[in-house]
Amino acid sequence: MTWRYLEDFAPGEHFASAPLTVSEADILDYARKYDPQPFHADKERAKEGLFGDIVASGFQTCALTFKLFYETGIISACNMGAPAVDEVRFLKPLRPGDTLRVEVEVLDVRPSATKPGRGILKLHYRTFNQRGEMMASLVIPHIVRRRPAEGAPR
Amino acid sequence: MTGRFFEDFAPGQRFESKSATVTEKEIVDFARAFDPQPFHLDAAAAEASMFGGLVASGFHTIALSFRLIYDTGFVAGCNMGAPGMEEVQWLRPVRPGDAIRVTAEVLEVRPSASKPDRGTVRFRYTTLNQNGEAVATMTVPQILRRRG
Repeated sequence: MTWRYLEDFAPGEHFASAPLTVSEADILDYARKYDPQPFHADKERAKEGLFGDIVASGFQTCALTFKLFYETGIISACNMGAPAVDEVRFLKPLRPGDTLRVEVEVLDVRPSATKPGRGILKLHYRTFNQRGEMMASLVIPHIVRRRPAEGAPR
Repeated sequence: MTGRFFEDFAPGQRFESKSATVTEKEIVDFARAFDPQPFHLDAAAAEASMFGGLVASGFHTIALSFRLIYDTGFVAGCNMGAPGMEEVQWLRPVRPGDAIRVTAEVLEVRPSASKPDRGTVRFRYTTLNQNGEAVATMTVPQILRRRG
């Protein structure tokens, strides 16, 4: 993989992640630490709830969505952080055994007006399950580096 | 505090969580599982980053924020989930040893037009560090059960 920087992205480009199967233990471990609501953390009580079984915390779905894309390596060299996440939608529950994959579209590429070495790469993330149903979507305006000058330290 | 339902919330109400200190181990453990970027995983690499040192993943900050709020119990009996988040902002980094707490403000209360057993309460959560600086905010429309 060649390292990508801000100027290597264009609006409309698409990227796809590898798939990831999420186990019951993955859901329970996360829920016990961060979101111990019965429908995420308690198998017995979840049976009586809206979803009929445990489902993943939406915070876990967001984090896994980012992780799946990050692991493609596409922004590994250039991502400096992000100031926000926008328009988070939870459309379908993530259930034990579901297999996720993430598609990312470049919405906008904008050099910083004040900081010459960087810019904003706005990405639209969409997360699908094994049936091709969209489960979640979110938008992240990443702060990314511009390509360093030849010979400059990275 | 337990036993609150949809009809017990009104715009302008505020709730406050306890505080929790975030350790370097927690930051690194979360990063390994969910956000393996050098500035979340590796103190030496983080020195050279925009942050000048190890910082928590933003996904970790919002997860801990929700946990702190949930542990207050004010939506524990009635929360049915959320269809999304309107906005999440990461304003300042959370560093090892920082103690964070969360304030919740009720922005809006809206009964469901189609489902009489529930309604939506829009909360604005603000996560503060030990210096009282806002490190994150998020606005979440939560579906809450009405008193049965």
